[in-house]
Amino acid sequence: MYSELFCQSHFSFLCGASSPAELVTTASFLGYDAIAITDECSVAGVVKAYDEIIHQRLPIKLIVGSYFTFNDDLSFVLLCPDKKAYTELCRIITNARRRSEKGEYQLAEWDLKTIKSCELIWLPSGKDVQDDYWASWFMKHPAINVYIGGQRLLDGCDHTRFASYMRLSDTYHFPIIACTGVLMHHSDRLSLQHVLHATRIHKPVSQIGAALLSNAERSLRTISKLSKLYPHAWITNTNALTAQCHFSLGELCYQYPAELVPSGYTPTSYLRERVEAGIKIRFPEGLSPEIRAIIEKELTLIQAQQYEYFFLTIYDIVQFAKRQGILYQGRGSAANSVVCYCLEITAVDPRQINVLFERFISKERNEPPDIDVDFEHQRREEVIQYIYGKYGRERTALASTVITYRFKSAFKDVGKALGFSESQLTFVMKQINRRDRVIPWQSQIHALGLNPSDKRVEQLTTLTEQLLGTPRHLSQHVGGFVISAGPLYELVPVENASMPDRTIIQWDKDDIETLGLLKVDVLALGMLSAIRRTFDMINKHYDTPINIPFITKLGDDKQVYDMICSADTVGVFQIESRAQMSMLPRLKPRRYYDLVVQIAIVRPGPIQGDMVHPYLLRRHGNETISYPSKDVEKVLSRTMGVPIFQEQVIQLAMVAAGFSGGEADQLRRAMASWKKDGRIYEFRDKLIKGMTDRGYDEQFSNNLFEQIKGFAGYGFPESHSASFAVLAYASCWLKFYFPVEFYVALLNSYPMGFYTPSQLMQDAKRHNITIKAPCINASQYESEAKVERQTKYIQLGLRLVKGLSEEGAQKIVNGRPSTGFTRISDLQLLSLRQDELEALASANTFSAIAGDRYEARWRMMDTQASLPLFDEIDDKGGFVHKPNAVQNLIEDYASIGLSLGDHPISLIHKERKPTHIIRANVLATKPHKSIVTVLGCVTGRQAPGTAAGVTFLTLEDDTGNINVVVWQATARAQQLPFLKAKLLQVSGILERSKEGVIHIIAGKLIDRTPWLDALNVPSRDFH
Amino acid sequence: MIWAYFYCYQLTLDAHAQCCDAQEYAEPIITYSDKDNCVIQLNQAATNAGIERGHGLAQTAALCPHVNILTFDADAEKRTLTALAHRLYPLASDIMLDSINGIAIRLDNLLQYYGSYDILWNVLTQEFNHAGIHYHYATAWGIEAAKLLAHQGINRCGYTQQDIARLLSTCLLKHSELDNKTLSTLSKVGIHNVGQLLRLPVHELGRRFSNSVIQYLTALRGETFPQVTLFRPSEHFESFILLPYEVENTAYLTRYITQCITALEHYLRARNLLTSLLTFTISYREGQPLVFSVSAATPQSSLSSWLSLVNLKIENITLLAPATSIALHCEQFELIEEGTTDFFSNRFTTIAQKQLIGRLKAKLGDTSTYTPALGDSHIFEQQTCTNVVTEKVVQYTAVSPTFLLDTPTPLTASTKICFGPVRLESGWWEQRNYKRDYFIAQTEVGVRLLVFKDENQSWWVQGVYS
Repeated sequence: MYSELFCQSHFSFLCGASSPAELVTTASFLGYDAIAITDECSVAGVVKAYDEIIHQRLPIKLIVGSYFTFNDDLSFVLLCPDKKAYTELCRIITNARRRSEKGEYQLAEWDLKTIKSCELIWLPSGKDVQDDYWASWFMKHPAINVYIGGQRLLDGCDHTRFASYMRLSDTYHFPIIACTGVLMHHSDRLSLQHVLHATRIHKPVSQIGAALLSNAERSLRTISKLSKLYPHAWITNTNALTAQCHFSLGELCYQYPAELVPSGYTPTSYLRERVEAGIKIRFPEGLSPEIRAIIEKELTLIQAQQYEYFFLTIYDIVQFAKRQGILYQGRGSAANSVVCYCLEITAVDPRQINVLFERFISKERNEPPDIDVDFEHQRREEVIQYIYGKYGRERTALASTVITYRFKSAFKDVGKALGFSESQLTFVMKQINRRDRVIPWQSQIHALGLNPSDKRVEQLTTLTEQLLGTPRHLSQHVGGFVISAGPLYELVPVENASMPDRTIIQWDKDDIETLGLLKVDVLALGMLSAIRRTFDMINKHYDTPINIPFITKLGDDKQVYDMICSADTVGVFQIESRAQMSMLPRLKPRRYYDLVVQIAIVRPGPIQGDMVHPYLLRRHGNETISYPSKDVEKVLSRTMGVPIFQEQVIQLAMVAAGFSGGEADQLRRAMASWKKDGRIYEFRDKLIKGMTDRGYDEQFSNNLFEQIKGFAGYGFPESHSASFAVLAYASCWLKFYFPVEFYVALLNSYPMGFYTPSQLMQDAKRHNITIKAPCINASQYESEAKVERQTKYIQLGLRLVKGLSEEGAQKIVNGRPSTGFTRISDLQLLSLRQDELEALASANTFSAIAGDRYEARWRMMDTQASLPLFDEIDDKGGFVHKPNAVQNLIEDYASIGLSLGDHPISLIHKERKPTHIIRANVLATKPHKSIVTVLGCVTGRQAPGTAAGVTFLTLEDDTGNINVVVWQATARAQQLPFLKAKLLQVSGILERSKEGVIHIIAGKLIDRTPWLDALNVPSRDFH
Repeated sequence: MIWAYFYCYQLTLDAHAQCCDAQEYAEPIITYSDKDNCVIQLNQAATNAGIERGHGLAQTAALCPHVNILTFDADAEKRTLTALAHRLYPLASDIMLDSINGIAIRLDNLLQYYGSYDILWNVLTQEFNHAGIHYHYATAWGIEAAKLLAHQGINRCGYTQQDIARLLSTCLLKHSELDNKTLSTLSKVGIHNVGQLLRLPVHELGRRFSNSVIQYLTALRGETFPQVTLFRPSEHFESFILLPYEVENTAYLTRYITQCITALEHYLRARNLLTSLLTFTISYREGQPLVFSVSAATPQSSLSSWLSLVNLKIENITLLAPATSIALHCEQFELIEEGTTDFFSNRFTTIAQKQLIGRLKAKLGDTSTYTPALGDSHIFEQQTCTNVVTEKVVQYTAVSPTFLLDTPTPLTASTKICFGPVRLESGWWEQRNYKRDYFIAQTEVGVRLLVFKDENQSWWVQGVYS
């Protein structure tokens, strides 16, 4: 019998070389009774170990503990025999972590004195004087149970250590237990451990010398070997200590904040009361029996699963947002229920979409409910501060995210540890094409000058692969809050995040899920800001308040869907990217659920799983829909037999391969972490066998597995898509009916979305909307929708002026006379900063009072004009130099990011009159397969991983966007214009799909940048 | 006054060209500034490949994957410029080194020696051409004006007021000495060239720009002449070559060393001097540079004599890391006199110990000169090392023997284990991966040995205890 009571996983960052799962699995295989995961001042790895033991049903006890270094002379391990000790450990870790910068810790002697319940394994330093000091100290604190941790590491110092242990034990009567201080689950991780050590101290392995581990004895060793190494008495003591430790993470009982439920209510009755109140708001005309039945069913399910507090917590937060006028939208597995609709967590009207709650919360699948709430990105901080204010910082913290080694960081750290120069590593790393499916990176580096026969190069590739996915540090989750009834540090240690005043717990979302704790996701979404701003503008002028429920209640609008089908979706939510826009005319969405599919289908998951083409064929009736069984039909019928959503894949595994709820949950997690650990392959045989046993043919089974792989890491859940589709539709509706307000809201919510203000304004122009430039006498801080002669127009705001602060802009707005400013010196009196005045001149905002921007600047430069004595001098002096159209264009882009003057292409056509070049708006009249020549500013270069070397260029001319497809061979043969051109002329073949989508297949590329050499039009390169 | 200004726009490339043959220089070569991540100098082949000044490294590599890259080093350029000034100093006295790549030479006061500007110009440009330096040039009434014209790439000599004024008015302000802020301000009111600026009334400019700007403009107009510090040649010789690529083999250093000594020879002969001690500094990409001296029994100046001595030294040098630059420093000179040729009397009797070691190393090589030291390693083979004296305190393990064998020998004697095992798994990053179990064993005659068992279960003797 043996238990390892001192064991560090790779959550002791840059020290441990094995994962908690590897450690517990190997320890169990070796026949250990128990294993303590004791990462340094951390319990970040214990839940992973616990999860592995539960799911693999390993016959091994997990002991929770932590290793600490107090100073050079004192280090020890604390173990938790019971829950009280666990709480104590969490408090000590929290205190030590909160005293220090992110990632560091600092124990105080006070922390040691407060140890009452934990068992302490002391690791003597071997220095007699210091060890005697600490032994005496421990003797003075009898509440601490001290054991001496005896290590035999075969490093030549065992006999001196042994003598030291015996002396201390004899003198102070501390029992000695056997422990290894494991850093690796297997001895073959020694080289990785050396690399981690080298990374920690920033030195190559070859220069560290004797400070490295001299052998691999700090790995899990066989019991027979250990019984030879350690005296029997030590092992007996170890087993006795193990027997005292009976705390399990399963005992942790999460308690919701009690204040959510007013006195006199139970959680269930209060939730019901809130739902009933919500029904009156959401269904003023009364409930249909069907909806009532669904609500009752959902409430029963919530009660059975004891999720009332969770729904009430989110209800409380969204009610705050509602009171503050912050727009929000819930999404996630439980969000699209009727209960959530009644609680006003979502705006998805169940009558419109017919979504079944069961599909999202399933007792059988044992998934915790998942509700993410998106808030306006510019106002999310208000919600976060509300949560901190309501529950206090002791009871609230963000979940952590484990930042793991990705290829670049792993390659760099291993390379440095092996002594490669940083410059060489940087060069090689930049040249490696990780998307190349033909030549793996291991082969590519040989072509980049790393000698394949060099042993170091071989080690570089092997160790980089080993290091991939290893945790590097903890970071904060984007918005996942954990809120508890009591102090959170009694449940899980809390540490500082890098952001001031933010704290994170040591567990990530998977750990939280494993332990059944519930987190509330408070996320930020730019489109919500834009939609809310649009509503505000509209509601100023109309009696009927317009909001998302109002739009969804109106039902599917033919005109809006016509606009969507014609891919006129610049600026709207989700379906605005080029890939989405080229899919819209092919999929032709005509109702809400089509949008749900549209959003989910243009993703790497469905694309890599080859699901897009079959879906389109079936949707347009060009392929018959068939199902191998009724069960499969039930799962896939709503998407015409093609799995589009992540949930469908999981459901297929259950109905077709006989996966249990728990197994399906594991599969879901494996899909999420496939890229990290490849655990999805563990399910392959079971999935295929399960399906063939149930009569499905092997081809179908293999296809399904490939589809699951395609989804892994990229799959998009239907529940999220359903919520996104609401916002996508609402934004389209607003764009169609209130385009001026919508564009203005987009401008005021920037940065957000896919398009720059320039591209948005180009689109607005194409919709015949008048846009007026920022003006010192007409603009407010933000852009506005204004009316002139019964026509709406966009008045750009001073917010767009780069270099002008909000405070400066407000000074101008507040200090503006009713008749407007008449001279520049009026503005100089407003005590604006000089650079702000210059920014205003650059943006040509003085045009109403001081001519062009050159003249305005010339006047502003005059230092004497602002002196009181010269006040009366007329400052309309005139200046000889005038900007030309191109200079104006360049400065417009530089100062406000867009130009309302002529488009660069328009200028070129005026100056050069190229006869053979076709504009974007004329392409539609050209026949399929005809040869055309186009010219445009390169505003987008995308080389998606799914496109096998093809680059999609977007050219913008004065009439619209042109989609150009450049094949790899074309790009290689014409590298110069392909890589360098800002202004590109393309001759190629026009291809028009049946649905009317036009692409130019590039043939000849000519760099026309010299035509407008200094033009500063931003390009999005190779995202 | 008439000043000529030579803007040496590719000094790094030119210095490199001295070290390589025509075939090598026909390949695309660029000078790259890692500070600004851009190409700042390039040869014709690189231009033909589509590379331009200002391109980043990624774009350059994409356009021409096989381009040779020289790293820009301002200090190196400055040294090359100084060396050039040394060459010019015998021809012209009023030389001013400007920035890292400009040389201004006053011409009008040399007319009396050369007779005409044309002859003077021929002499100067001939020296530039011999030195292999590319340049843009111009002449004007002051350094500022000449510099602006040279940077504009005028490449014309104007000696009359009208010529100079006409050429100046076409110059772009971005080539001027005006700071970026002023340039930006001027650009924002549409003023891009000198002509536009000088046409504006001075009082209007005075209301808008600082004194330094106005002073510069008056200097451009030739109305004021700022004070200049003229070049004075240093009293010792220095030569520096930034290697075009990182050199790992000393054999490849020869051509650069030859270039340094050639320059020295030129320097010594011009001054009728000899020297007996050269100091070379080889800089590594990372770590401390290697400094070594080569001394000659008799002071000398000829390339061939020095080269044979230096080669002897170089043969025995192992570069610890890729070398990036080489420098030659020489400050002990003797005038050539008949008396100094009798060199052998009483010289060798006073050779100090360090000199002796130095000469032994030069003659025998560093690897044959041992200094006992303790290595910082778990691996016994590396615990005794030579040459490198480490100051680190290394804790001996309990099993460290008194004498370690250079190479382990098979254990043949019958022994009894009295201590162990000590397990060693280390050195995987080197050519050998050491996996051994060490023991202290005692032979029948009582000798204690450090023995180990390797992966093949063979037993070896590594050391002996006293």
